[in-house]
Amino acid sequence: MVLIYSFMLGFYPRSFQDDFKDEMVDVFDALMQDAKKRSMFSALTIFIREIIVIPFTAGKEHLTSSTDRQKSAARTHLNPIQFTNGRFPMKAKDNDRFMIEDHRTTLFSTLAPMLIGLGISITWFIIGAPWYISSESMRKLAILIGSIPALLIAAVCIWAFLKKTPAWSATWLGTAITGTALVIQSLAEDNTFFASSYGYALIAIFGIISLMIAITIALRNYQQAGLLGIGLSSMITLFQCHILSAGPTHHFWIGMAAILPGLLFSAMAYLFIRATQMKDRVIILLGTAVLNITGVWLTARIYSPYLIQQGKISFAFPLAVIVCIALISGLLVQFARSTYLKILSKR
Amino acid sequence: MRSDISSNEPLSEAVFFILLSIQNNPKHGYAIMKEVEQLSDKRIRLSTGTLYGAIKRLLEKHWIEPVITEESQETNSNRPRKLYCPTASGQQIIEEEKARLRSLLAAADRPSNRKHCNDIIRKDFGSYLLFYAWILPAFFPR
Repeated sequence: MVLIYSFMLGFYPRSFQDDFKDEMVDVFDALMQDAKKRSMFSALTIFIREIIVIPFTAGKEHLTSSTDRQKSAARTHLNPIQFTNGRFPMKAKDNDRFMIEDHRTTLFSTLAPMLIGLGISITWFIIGAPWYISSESMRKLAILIGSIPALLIAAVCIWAFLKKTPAWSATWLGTAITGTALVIQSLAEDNTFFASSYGYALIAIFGIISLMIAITIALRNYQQAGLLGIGLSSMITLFQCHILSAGPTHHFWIGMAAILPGLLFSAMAYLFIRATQMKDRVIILLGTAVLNITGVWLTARIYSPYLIQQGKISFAFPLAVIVCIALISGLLVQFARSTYLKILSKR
Repeated sequence: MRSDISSNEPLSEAVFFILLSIQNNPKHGYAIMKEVEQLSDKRIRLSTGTLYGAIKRLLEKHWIEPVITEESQETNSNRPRKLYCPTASGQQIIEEEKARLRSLLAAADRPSNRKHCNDIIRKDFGSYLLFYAWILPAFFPR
């Protein structure tokens, strides 16, 4: 419990951690020992209470620490945030350590969507036909080799998590969050475990942790928020390539071609990092939205005969809305933060 | 939270209890939590996040300061335990807040206020009596 708590304290700003993390861990440890003397239930209640509070208090500390820096910089006639033409800041100096600048980091941070596309492509190249025609051993081999990029993403995300989500990890974590959600959703369709209370608890823990990670990244700056959005949305679109390759449509060639949209999403993320102007970034995000919506539209079109057969309505519009929300979710959080800071600085 | 001593903005309940808990002798984080719980009749249970957020702001305002005493060395971990005590301005803030709360109580207990309240109750009670005296017969058959 202390280990988990100590890990969760990583969501606080660095300066806050330097000043209070050790003390907080000691206090938490004492609280736990005291509670355990009463009962295990009491200890569990306190543990949950402490964990639930962290996103709120850590978020508050992030906001106040950046406001404090802003105020202190204003006192020394240094403007930490460059407001150009009254627009929101593109690069806040207080979050400089979360800006990707060098070429190698830029390339590495954009690899995740391409890897997902690669995984799907490899899987369907090995199967090489509608799955019901291929042999079971071939299918197993395809899934085994096709999972390697996904496992690589998982490993990189764990590494990023241990390194306290550095700047390069935004797209990777965005992709992993949606990927895990989609995997859970797929498993939940056939597995009764997810309908049990343990299943719900697992989903709830995953949801809370994902939300915390996403908000922490989105609060940093516009670059991180945008990359997170690209990661979240691209995974949904790429997953559709896999769905269309399987039943009932069996368009395995779409799965084979998944590397192409994967590459396009990676390219979008790359251009997003390299762009310095707000308008360039907006154009790139619009391009990503068009890619996503095109993917949704194509999927809906291919699926429509089956939906009509079952008397169901098209999912194109709701799915397009979900993908677009995923794309701009990080930016909305960052926009809210910037607005809040702007209001505070005017006071 | 007050940004300076001269401001008359009230303290938040948690901050007031934290300051109150360390007023007479310095305490470490865990002891502050327990003392706040006791002072507030278990109404306020601070989480470590809330406590250290408040401590950070109190330190920034120089209302409290960390101290190292012999007691502070008694800890399970190898780290020395930090105790907190109010500074002179912190003490002043506590006294100001107490005075503010006392004046509020005094205002609430002022006889004129009590008389006014009693008048309202009496008047209302009279109105209710009149109303029921008028409406009740309507429910009984003649």
